[in-house]
Amino acid sequence: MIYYMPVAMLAVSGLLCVLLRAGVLRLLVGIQLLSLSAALAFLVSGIGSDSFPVSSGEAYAVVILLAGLAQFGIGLGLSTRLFYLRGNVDLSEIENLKN
Amino acid sequence: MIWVLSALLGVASMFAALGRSFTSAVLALWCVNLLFGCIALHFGAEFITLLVWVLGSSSTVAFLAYGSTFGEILDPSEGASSRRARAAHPRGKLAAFLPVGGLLVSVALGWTFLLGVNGLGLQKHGAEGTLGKSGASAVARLGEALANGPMLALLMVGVGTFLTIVGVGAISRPRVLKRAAAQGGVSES
Repeated sequence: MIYYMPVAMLAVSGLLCVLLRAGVLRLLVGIQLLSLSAALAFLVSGIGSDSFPVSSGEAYAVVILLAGLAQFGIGLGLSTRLFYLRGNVDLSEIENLKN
Repeated sequence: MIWVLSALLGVASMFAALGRSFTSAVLALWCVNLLFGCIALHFGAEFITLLVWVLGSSSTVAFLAYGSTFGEILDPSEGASSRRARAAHPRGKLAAFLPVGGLLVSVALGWTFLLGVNGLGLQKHGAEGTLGKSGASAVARLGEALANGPMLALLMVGVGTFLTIVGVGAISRPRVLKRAAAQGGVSES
């Protein structure tokens, strides 16, 4: 159970970052923390489990990390476009579809 | 060991999430990635360790480069692409660390690789104990994974070069985005 402590800390930090920060780059930092938390959860869940071996956990963790990398790339691309169009990357100012 | 790593990971992740300065948050995120790799190494997952260290270092360089471009680190309107203005601005000196950081990461990975190969050679000759069987042999196992997989070693060299190139690109980044930011954004019409 102790192995899930870093998982919980990463998840809480990522959620706080996503909920409290307004910048796109800070949002990407939070998403990366959440992605690391999910990967570590799969890695840890394989320890001491016969039905879910460590190798399966590693495979899932690799998939999650690579998916997180793809999200990161797409996020940076979108933020570049946003910066080019509006001159800043503040999420609170994006209200084009409002009303 | 896992207690220490967990505590450090918790502190670093809190800094990454709640740090006021973007630079400190990104550097804390880098520490989170490195500590994640250490925890994975503790569990015997060498490939994930290598993957997280490489991806974490690359994303840190990318965050710093984009943060510098967007004005999170250095305001582009202050002439960020000017060498003289950058030298005059204290925070602009951070950009000079990017290529140096890329070189340091590649040297560190190369050192790990050599240490692992050295550990393998010692074990083949029966001279175990120099690196130890349990503690430092975790590093040797990482080197073993690299030595057994030439593609991983190639990836390591490639990523080191990539970090250096991205760092150099961050210093001499395009003036187009800076000009767009100075004008307050460019409309599509």
